[in-house]
Amino acid sequence: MAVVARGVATAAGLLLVASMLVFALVRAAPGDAVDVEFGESGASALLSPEEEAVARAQRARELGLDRSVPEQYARWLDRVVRLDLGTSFRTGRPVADELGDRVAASAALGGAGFLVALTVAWLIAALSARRPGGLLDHALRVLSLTATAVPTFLLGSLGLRYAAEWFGYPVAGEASWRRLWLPAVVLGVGAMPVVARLLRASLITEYGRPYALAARARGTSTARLTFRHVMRPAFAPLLTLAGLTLSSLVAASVITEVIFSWPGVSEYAVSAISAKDYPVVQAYLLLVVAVVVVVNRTMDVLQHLLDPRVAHAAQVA
Amino acid sequence: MRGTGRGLFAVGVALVGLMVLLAVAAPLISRYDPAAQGVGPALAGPSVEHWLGTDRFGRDLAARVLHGGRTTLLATAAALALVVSVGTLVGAAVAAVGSIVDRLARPLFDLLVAFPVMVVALALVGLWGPSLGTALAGVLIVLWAPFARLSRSLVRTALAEPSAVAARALGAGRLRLLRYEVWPRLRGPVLVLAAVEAAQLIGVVAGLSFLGLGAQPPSAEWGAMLQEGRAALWSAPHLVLAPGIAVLVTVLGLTCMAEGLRDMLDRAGQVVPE
Repeated sequence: MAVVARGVATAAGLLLVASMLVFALVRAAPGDAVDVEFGESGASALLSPEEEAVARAQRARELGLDRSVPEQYARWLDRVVRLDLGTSFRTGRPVADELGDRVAASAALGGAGFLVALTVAWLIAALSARRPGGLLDHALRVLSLTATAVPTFLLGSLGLRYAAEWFGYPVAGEASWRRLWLPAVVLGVGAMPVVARLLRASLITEYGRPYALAARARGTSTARLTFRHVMRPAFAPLLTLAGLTLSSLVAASVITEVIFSWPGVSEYAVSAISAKDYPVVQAYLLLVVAVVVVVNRTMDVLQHLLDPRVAHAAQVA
Repeated sequence: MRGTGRGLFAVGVALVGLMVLLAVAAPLISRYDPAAQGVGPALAGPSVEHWLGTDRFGRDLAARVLHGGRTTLLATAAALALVVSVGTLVGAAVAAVGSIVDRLARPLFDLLVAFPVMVVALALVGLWGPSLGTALAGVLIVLWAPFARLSRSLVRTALAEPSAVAARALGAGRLRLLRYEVWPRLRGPVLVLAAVEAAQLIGVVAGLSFLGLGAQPPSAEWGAMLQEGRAALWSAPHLVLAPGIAVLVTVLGLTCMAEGLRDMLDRAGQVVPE
């Protein structure tokens, strides 16, 4: 219980720090909300310069921009916590609603990508751990290295182009199963090598443990040994891994969603950038921060709960 | 475990060295001006005259990829030097000061490390407008953290080693400890991380540019070329392929370097960073 409480407390603290960072970033950006509404100074055709200055000051007061920075931060945080993320300049709809509509598509793509990465990585790791240093191990390593090096945009754009040409892959349209597989594979290929390396190392360790040797001595087949005995402990580091891959999945999904015009949050954010839709950019940043912090802390807590040795090691460190 | 890693490291160094050499010697290799339009027919495929073909304005693609490497590689190297030095120093300082600073810094490093570089760069570009400088700045804001986290933990363990304790007991000063006890344990892992993060940096900046949020045309820079090529993806995929493969080879070289170094460190029983 103490572990959970501490995890929640750390997460809250980190979220607070992260919110300050985001606020600072948004505040430091050129042009404030008043500039956005009125356009550049002197651009208004309807108002004389004096009238415009008065109107600007009035609007700044309404928005609370004349207050001290800590006060502004407090008011901003208050709104953010109540999920009031402002309205999109383009559509006039609340940003929280717009993002909400797209979270499911992003989660589906991310989840499918993770699944692809996990499956391929498990295959590669299981095959290479059979005989570490063998020919197959080396060949698979070359494969993994290449997969790391292929840029997402190259794989994505060429994949889209040739899949459309050869199998009539639908280039545009709604989010559907028929459109999910290709971006999922692109995402998965990028995230796979890290997972494969960790799983391989962990499998080799497990194969070398006394219990595995004992099982072998009893005549257990390799397949049975792998699936019945070694697999479970080998998957233990997977929790850390989910956290690790999350950030690379998010990064790759920015490119992938745009290339495949997949209606997720990243695609929304990128389209908002060209339209200078600041509230959307800010909300996107906040959303990713929140997800990253929550997932990482959850993984940390889970690891403590599942493996008491980790908790002990953490206390010693 | 899996070989000494020397071979893999050498392959990596060779690949990266090749890309640097090509960029440095660009004017000697290609006789075309990378900015000159109409030196060949528009959107032609590879030929003897134009090795990689030409782009929409009839510019020689090979010349552009060669010259583009200069901007891309130089910007990456400068950015990397900055994050490596700042991160390593901050981490070492935190470890040296210890106590409350160390306790507060650790979760902060963890947070920044977990944070997708791509998203921060994206947000920065969104707020300041697209350019290569903004995209790089976005990367720099978070990319020092992995180095800080690594160097913090390495310096802490190094100072706790019996040899370091003994050196201190013999009256070794801070600088002496740093030079003979900390540095030898620090450099290998930091180098691995530097290679990994350099690869990431190039990938992220090129990716942003591809989306039109990084380097802007008409400059001959890999990212800017990718963006121009994206518009012609259907009619002339070689426009994306040429700078894309340049990015791929560079990243592959850096990845091989990192992997080879990992094996070498592993054999030497040193810390291997993730």
